[in-house]
Amino acid sequence: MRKYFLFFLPLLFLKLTTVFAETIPGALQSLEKIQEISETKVKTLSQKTLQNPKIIDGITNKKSVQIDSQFLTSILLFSEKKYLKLVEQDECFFYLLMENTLLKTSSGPIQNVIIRYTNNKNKPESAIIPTNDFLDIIYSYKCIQNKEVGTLYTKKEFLNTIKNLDYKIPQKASDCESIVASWEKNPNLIFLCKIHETFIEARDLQKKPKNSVRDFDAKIAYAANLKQRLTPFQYQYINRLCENLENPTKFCDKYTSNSFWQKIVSGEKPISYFEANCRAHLKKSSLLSQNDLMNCELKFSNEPQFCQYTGATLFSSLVPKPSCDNISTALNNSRLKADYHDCPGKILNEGIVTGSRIISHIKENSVPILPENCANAPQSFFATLNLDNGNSIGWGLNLCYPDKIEKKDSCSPIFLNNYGDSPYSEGKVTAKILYKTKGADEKLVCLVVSDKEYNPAKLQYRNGCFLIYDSSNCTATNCPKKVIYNERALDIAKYEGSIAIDLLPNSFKTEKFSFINILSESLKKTKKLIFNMTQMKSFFKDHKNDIIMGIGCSEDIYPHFFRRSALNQCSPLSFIVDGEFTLDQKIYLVVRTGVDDVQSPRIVNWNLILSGIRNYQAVHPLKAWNLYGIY
Amino acid sequence: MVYISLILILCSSNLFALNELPELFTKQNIEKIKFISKDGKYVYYQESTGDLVLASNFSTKDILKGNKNSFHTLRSSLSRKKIIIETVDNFHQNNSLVNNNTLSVIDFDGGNLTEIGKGTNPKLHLQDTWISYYKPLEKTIVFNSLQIKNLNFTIKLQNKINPYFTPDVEMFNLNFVLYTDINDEGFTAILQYERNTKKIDIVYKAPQNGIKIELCLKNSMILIGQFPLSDTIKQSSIHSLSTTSEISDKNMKLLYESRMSDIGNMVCDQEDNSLYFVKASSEYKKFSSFESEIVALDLKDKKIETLTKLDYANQMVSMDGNLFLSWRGKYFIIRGDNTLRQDSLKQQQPDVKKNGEVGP
Repeated sequence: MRKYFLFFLPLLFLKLTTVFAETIPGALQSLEKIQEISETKVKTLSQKTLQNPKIIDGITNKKSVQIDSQFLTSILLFSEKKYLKLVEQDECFFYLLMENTLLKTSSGPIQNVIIRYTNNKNKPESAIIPTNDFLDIIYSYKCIQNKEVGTLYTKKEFLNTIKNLDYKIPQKASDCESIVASWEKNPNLIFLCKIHETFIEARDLQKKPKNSVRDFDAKIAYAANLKQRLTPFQYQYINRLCENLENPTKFCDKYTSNSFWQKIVSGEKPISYFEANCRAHLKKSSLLSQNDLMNCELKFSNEPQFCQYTGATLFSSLVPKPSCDNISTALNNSRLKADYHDCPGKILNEGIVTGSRIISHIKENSVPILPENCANAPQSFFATLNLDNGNSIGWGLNLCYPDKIEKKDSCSPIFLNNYGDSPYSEGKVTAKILYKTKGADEKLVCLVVSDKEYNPAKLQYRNGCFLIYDSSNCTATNCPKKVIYNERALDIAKYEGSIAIDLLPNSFKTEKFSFINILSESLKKTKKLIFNMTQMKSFFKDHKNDIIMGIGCSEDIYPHFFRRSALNQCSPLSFIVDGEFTLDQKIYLVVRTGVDDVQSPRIVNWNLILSGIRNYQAVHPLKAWNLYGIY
Repeated sequence: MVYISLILILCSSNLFALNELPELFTKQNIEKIKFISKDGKYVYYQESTGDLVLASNFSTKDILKGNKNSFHTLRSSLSRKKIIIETVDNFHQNNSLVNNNTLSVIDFDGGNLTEIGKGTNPKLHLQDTWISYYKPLEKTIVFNSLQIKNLNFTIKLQNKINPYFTPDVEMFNLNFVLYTDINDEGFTAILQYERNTKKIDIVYKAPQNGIKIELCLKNSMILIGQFPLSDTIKQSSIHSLSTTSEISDKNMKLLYESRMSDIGNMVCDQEDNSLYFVKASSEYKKFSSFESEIVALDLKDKKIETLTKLDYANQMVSMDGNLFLSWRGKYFIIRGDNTLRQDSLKQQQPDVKKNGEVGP
């Protein structure tokens, strides 16, 4: 039987020659002409056979039933090649294709089949029967499995079937052929391609006037409903597969592209680089599955604008962030360890943001990705580096209380929040003062809570110590708080001093305490001035894991975002450059300024960075060129 | 005493010739200069001590005490009655773009220094009788009368999504204010505040998020620029809206549109009938445009004149009728008064090198 069907395609040419030889003997026909002739013949045949409609019971010799050769020719001529190709795998696929209306004749999708069979008098006869009847005859003695596979796609089983299919994703270009070939042997493919064709039909229908198509609304609604029942991943996968059955490389292109998001799916890059956005997309807080990652990859690839505002309130930064495409390009050329999430818009001190990112890169700090930590962790890292290295002048923020024994104010350095077990956490230092002045428990830690969150009526705020801040007036360097201890407001301590850090040297006198010098001293790093693009390229080439930091005027680095409206106006903005690439003979840098989301680096032209540094140099007290490689 | 005079270098026969813009030179280091009046009569500069000093009529006058880390920025309007001083304390150690800086106002000739409040992005309105400024931490625009003490009002913004957003504000009469704001989805809109009723109406909302809206007032016309911040949008436009008719998006008239990501940074306060802005000069498929030039849009015939040819001209400063191009630590004169020519002539071209091999 298989041979019979394999006969279809190789003998197509022979068949056509036979069929049309009588029309124009010896002439080579164009396909259009052949189609036209076939159409006429099938029309004539249909009219003729319509005079002999048969019901299934009228055909006793079921095994004698065959598709009429002219009708078959029409199917071969008018059906899509990519679907006909599947018949080579298994003759039964021909009937599955017919069942799923993926085969066509000159009249369109097959509703009725013209057959030849042997009648009771053992004479050949032609008739026309509905497709379902024809398939019932066929399935009564062969291709029984087709019927069984069909039941998997009933309304009841659909979701389960679709969910359990093995959607193999190519990891490399060489996987493409084998994955598509494996699908071509799988009868499920035909049902999936039916789904695909439903979407195509709906898409095409929408371009037509509503009244011109029968069941217009129903067809559109059916496709929409079908789409809703698929995950975005399934939807994309099915469409890509069925669209590109004849071109496996094209099917693979999206999956084997150099996209950073695809690298996350394949495990080459950490999930944390898109975890926040992925969770926002899926509205999911639990562990992300492989399927979730694939869904997110599709979202990021198909909706580049999705990354621009997603997560902007949780991990506040300058928005719009770059598109997903540009973030992917930037991350592919980036080397900063950024598998965590900070929030510049809550810290509102670009020096702390940039400084803490450099510390995290060098120390390879592992920071949990939690919105509540996004401001505290950077402050803690930056404060600790400064205070542990004696820069109590730069990080001069203290909490002071009157020490009755010493008869003077006692002060302890702090950063304005809590993080981990840092001794500089404000909550820890406040608790220590409460221990000394009010006899509080030695292990007490004061929790930092916003005024919006704090509700004394709630049980959780009845006992213990809380530092309440005004959410509209709180930055990393200024965040006054009320101390509530066991429901009583206390005035036990006051802030003294301020944070005034030289990220890069601003005077010869305090040069030693500039962040970059402390970094060199404490973390044994060397700093190297970078004056031009050649030096920058060479730095990145020679130091594979190292980064460059600088300060420039924000108005020059991001002229789209920040306007200069006065002479010598400059708002200094610190930044990290951690990669470069050339496109169309232009050099681009991968940049994260202190206002940018750490996981959404921007692609900036070198000339803008150059202008920013130059203009800042002009107003700098030392007229310093502020661009350093750190290695 | 430091005598400062403005020396404009005007060797070029055509002041506005592309790539031949005269550089702004002063006897005092240009980086110390904070304000120069159009006629060169008033020059405000910052001493290394942080003090703000006025040099005028062959003498100097201390305007504002500062410290070594102070940084003053001065702005005026075409009314030439007042000058706003914005002072950042701890300028080099502050490390923050979001600050409430000290704002003061002086008379144009340096008299009557008055501290106004704390904020940023100050602007003079209604012939220098009002000042507005923005308090970024509180997300509030404050309006103070400069004629009647303690007469003020505020507008609270809705913006929760961009901590670095600064609104554009135009007070076009005593009762109405137009300003920009952003909603939670990143859509920028123009809103109208009515002082009498304290009512706020949306005048216009950008067609999609990721577009910034700039406003500026030119005579009785509000000019509205829409420029993309998003790298997925490639469309820019400028409309006009008359203040003498109903303030509604229905009355917005298109002056300019482009399929490119122009930078904007519009300047209206020049005496001619032009609007100046930064226009993209090339477009890349993948990234936002980086190459740009300063152009003038003639408001009458809507023609565009390109004023620079530097590839990366993206900021200009309008100061008392002069228009300067800010370029890598130097200033070049785009529009200026030729009569300021003084005691020496020297020409220097902007040193333009693509993907520069330029040292410090």
